[in-house]
This record gives sequence, structure tokens and C-alpha cells, in this order.
Amino acid sequence: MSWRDGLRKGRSHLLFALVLAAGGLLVVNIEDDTLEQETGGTPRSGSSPAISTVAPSTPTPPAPLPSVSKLASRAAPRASDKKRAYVQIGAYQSEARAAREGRQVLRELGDPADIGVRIEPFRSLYRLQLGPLAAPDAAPLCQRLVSQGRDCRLVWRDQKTSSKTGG
Amino acid sequence: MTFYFTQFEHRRPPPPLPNSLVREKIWQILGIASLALGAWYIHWRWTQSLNWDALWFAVPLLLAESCAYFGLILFTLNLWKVKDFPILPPPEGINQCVADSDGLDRPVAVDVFIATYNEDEELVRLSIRDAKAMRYPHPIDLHVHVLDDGRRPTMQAIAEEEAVGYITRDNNVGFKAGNLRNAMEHTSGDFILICDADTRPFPTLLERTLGYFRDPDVAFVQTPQWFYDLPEGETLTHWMTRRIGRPGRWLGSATEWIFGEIRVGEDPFANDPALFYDIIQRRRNAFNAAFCCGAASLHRREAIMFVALKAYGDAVAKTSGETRSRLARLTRRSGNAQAQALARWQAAQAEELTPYKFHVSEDIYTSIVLHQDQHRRWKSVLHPQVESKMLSPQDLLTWTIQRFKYAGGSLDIFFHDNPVIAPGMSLGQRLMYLTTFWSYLGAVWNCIFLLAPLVYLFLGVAPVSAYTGDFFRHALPFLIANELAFLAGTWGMSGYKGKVSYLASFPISLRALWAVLRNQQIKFPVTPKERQDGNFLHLVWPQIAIMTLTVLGLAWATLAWRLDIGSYTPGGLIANGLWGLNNILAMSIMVRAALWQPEHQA
Repeated sequence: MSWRDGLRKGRSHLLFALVLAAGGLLVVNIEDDTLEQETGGTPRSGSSPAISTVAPSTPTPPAPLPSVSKLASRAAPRASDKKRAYVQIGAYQSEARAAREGRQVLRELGDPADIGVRIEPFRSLYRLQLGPLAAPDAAPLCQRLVSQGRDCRLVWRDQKTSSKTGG
Repeated sequence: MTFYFTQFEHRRPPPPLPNSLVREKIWQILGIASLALGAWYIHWRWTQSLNWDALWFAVPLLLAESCAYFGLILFTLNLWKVKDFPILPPPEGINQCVADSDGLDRPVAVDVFIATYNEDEELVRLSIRDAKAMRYPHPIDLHVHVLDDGRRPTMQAIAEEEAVGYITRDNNVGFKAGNLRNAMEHTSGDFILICDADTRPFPTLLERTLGYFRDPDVAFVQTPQWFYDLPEGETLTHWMTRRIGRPGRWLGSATEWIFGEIRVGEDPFANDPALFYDIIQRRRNAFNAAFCCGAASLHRREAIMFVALKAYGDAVAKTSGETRSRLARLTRRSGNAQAQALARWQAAQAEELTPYKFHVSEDIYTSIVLHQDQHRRWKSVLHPQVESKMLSPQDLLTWTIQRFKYAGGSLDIFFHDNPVIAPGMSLGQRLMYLTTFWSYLGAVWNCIFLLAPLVYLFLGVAPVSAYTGDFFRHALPFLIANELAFLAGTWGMSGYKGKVSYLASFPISLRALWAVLRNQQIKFPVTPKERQDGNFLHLVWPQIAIMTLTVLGLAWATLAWRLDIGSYTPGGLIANGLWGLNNILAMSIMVRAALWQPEHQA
């Protein structure tokens, strides 16, 4: 039996492998883009609590996170924006996990009386946000969280943080 | 007389797949890589990927994946290596086939049993003539017998015209197994060739297979079954030209230039048994675990009688035990030697010697009993060359009856007389039988695989925590390695139809499983040899339901995603969409089979 004939007979295996590879890569790109929008950076390895199930396929260095000052300047607060700001510190697969993580962060921050946990469902994720804060208070909080090794992103109370990927 | 298959008489069977050591090594390396990546994937799935918010869905799917993975391990082991038995020259006399000859040599005696019930007598005549035409290089005592459970005078007349034996009985107890047993009582050949009414042996059958019996421990030789009436379909280019003219011809030619010849309408029922005989059964030779499939198999009478005596002994022991208990209760005495002897005598009178167990899968049963014998260590041989031709089921009803019998018979053995855990067999033999049984249980997890995308598409609930890099980093290497491994492992054989028909035939296996679990007897009516007329769509309503629901689910999920309803993601939609598409394609094979008409009726 010639190679060509053998390949012809087994082409369904090759086609299946090809579709799997192409479909998989497409889905990964789309889903990771969504998560990137959520977290403000490339999904990191499984050790990251916020995106523990979305490790990248190659150990590429994470894209640089936008600095707190950049975030702050991008969303310039106005005088009337008192207590409209939140800081988003992650997006989780389950609500319970987001709540648990929120309690943990608050504990680490010394349980401030004026900051609460807000959990916002978004697609299959639950965004974990702290607030509400006055805009000037948000940036220092973000800096503090980043110094503790956490992600942080400033959002506004009514702000849509992500647009529909591919939509 | 002209039959629908007369036009196919010129067809010749394909040769067995050539064996290559290099290719076998490549297959083994890829097979191990696939299993290792699969183990990594399954471990990751259990430990890190479960969607804890939807355990009701995530856990059954993961259990299904784990069961399928276990099946993959068994199947890989089954396909591990080719180890054909050497074909030995045909024996000149019976002394070359037995361990302890009595010195008086004589020609080998072979009885050919052609079992029939209600098939066309002229069809049986063709089988008789081909059986008579078998050649042998030495003197041979060959007797052809028609075993007619239909008690038809017309059949008897044909047997007389053809100068072959005609054996019948006044009842149909045990169906085919009973018919064979009855014939054994009337004959005495050293070897028995089992044929169905439509089994047409080639002239070479005996000269190529009797040599195996030079080994006195070889109990039976199974030859591959080959359906010479399978529709060949037409090339894609031809088909498209017929449909849309010149553009179709260009498109079809271009596609076939890239992918090689593609045939439309070929083997609509995925009946081709080549994968089963040339790959699955043949590679069980390495474990001495090829099992008998009935038609086109050659048996050593001594081995069959051994099975009968063992079954008889077991039955007598069981019945006499029950009688002893009854006697003990009546006489309030136990351990009485006279009572024991009486009980044994009564049991021996009541039990019958049954060479072929009265079971829907009497052929597998016979193989199991032989493989379990620890003293004799009987051998079974799968002879790779096709040595006969037969007819395939020509409609979905016949096909369904046949598959239901296979599934029900195997599952009945698995649940009620499981050889995997019974003493006697080697580890390899146990695993090979387990592979067979596991494949029939596969309908349960196949059902989950068919429903899983529907759950996502209708409810937006994903079984994994996210369709992201981490998931595909674990799943894709395994799935791709698996495809490449089986490309090498089944090199030269197209396994696509077998794979999808396995997935699509889930309702048959589920029904068989349900019947066995409820202790219902699997009935074994004769599989019709002629096309049954009628509409068969009612047989495939589960497949149609899966297809319809998947299409509706895809439409709903796309709409919901666009309107931002629920938690659909583009990635989840694509992943489940592709999965659903695969399921639709698989199901469509059965639906097309239900609608299929032979060319002369279309």
C-alpha cells in the first residue's frame, strides 16, 4: 500500500486533528482576549487566584499592566464624582470564590469601614471590586494593592468595563 | 435465478493489511504518547478544571470522559501488535492434528454445516455449491449438510438435488445453537465448518485453514467475514456533476485532488467488518483471545465437545446440589452417599449435552469456555485472509436487529457470566474480553457526550471552568496525539464510518443494556437476508432528536449571546458548536441509512 493510499484512507484522522487544532487556537484567542479585557493583562499561570483556570499555553511574560497613574488619568474624575469609583482586583469563575477572595483582601487592608466588596457577574465570570470610593482615594488604594502583588483596575460605578469580544 | 447480488459476483475481497515492523513501532510510540497525554488531561480535569458551580453537569461528563479514556487504554492494548499464527501446510491425515494418535491414520473428516431457517432456497443452493467446490490437496472426507430449522420440503429437495445431507428436527429449541447441536448428534467429522445460509466459502478455505489444526491445542479458526454486496457509491466528482453540472465537476475534482477519492453513498450502514476482523480480532491473536463469530469459522469437534461436557458437568453439579438439598430437607439427613448418588443420577438424566450454549451469542460463549480451560489451554486463531463471502444487512431494520443481538448477547454475558472476573483466563484474555464488553457499555458515556453540548447551548452552563488556554493546553495535545496514533495504528483502514456509527448506534446498545439489566431474555430471531420494505425513520428518532436539538441549541445560543442573555462566550459557542456539529454529522449517517434505497429500487 502506497503512502498516498494510506493517507487517503486515514484522512479523517488528519482532518479531525486539523479542525481540533484550528478550533482550539481560535477559541483560546477569543477567550483569552475576553479575560485580558477583564483583568487588564494577559492571563497568567494557574497560580494566579483571579484566573486560576486560564493559564496561557506558553510561558510568555505577561503584558505590562497599565499603571495606576495611567488608569487614574484615563478616567479623569470630576468634582461631582464623589464615591463613584471602584477598584477591580480580579474576575473569578465562581461567585463564592470571588466573595471569599474579597473578604481576604479586605482583611489584608485592615477591614476599612468605608470600603465594601462588590461582585458583578460578567458572562461566565464574577468581577471582584472594592468600593465605592472617591476618585482621589482610588489611586492610592490601587497602588497599595499592586504593591501587594495584586492586579488592580479603576472602574466607575456605571462604567461598562468590557465590550463584547467579537460581537 | 437472478438475485440483487448477482451483479457483484465478480468482486474479490481485499488482501489483509500488510504488516510493517516500523509502522507498528510508530503506532506503539504514538499510542503511549496519546495515553500519557490522556492521563495528564484526565488528572487535570479532575483536579483543576471542574466547574464547581455546575457539578450536576461537570461530574457526569468527567466520569464519561474517564470511562472513555479507560476504553481507550483497552483499545490501545488490543491494537498493540500483529502476531499472526504461521500458516502451516494442510494436514495429510488426522494423525497430524492430534496429540496422541492411535496409529491408524485416515483422511481428515470435515462437516460443513449450512444453517438455515427461512432464507430463499436458491440462495442456500449457491452456498451448497460453493461448499462442495472447496478443494484440498490430500484425500479428505468432506460432507456438506443443510441444517434446516424451517423443515421445508423444498429445501430438502434442493439438498437431494445437490447430493448433500439434509438435517432437520421437530422443534426450534435453542434456535441456531440448537440447530447446530442437533447436527452434531447426526455427524462425526473431526472438524466442523459453520456457515450461515448466505455464507459462500471460497475453494481455498480448507487448504488454508486446516493447517492451523496441526497444533493439537487449536480449538477453532475464525476467518474474516466479507460482505461482497456493499454499495460502492459514486465518486464525489461524479455525484456533484450530476447535481450541479460543470461547476460541480470542477469543485469535486479539486476536492478529490486534495483529499483523494471520496465516495458518496458507499456502505450506507457502515457494515464493512474489515476494521473488526483485520485489525481488532487479528491483533487479539497476540493474546490468544480472538473469539468465534459464528459464520465462516472452523471448529475442532473435540473442543466443542469439551465445551459441551464442561457445561453438562456444571449443570449436573448445580442441579444435583439443589436436588441433594431438597432430599436433605425431606429426609432430614445430610451427607448420605446414596442420596448424593441419586441426586447426581437424576440431574444427569434431566440435563442435556449442549455443544453450543443456547444463547444469542453462542459463538462468544463457546470461545469463553475454551479460553477458560486451565488444563488444556485451547488456542483460537484469527486467519487474516478472507475465505468466504456473505451478504450484508440491506436495510436499517435488519441492521438494527443484528446489532441489538450483538450488543444484548455481549452485555448479557458481561452481567451474568462475566469471564473477566471468573477464573481460568490469562490477564491478556480477560482484558480483551473486557474491551469488547466495555465498547458496548460505551453507549452510556456516548449518550453524555451527545447531550453535553446541548446543556451548554440551551443553558449556558459549561462543564469546564473556562474554554481558555489552560483547557486546550491539556485537551488538544491528547486529542491530536490520539488521532495521529490511530492513523498509524489502523494504517490502511478508514475508521471514520466505524467511529461515527459507534457513536450513532447508542440507542441500540442502550436498549440492549436496559433489557439485560431488567433480566429480559435477548431474543434471537433470524436476521433477514433480504431487504425489508418500509420506512425506517422511526428507528432513528433519537438520532433525529439529537440533530434537531443541536441545531435549535446553536440558534438559541447565538441569539442569546448577541442579546447578552445568559453567560455565553464566543469561545464556548465555537467549542460547543464544533462539538455539536460533529454529533450532527455522526447522527446523520444513521438517518441517511434509514432513508437509503438500493439503486435498483431508488
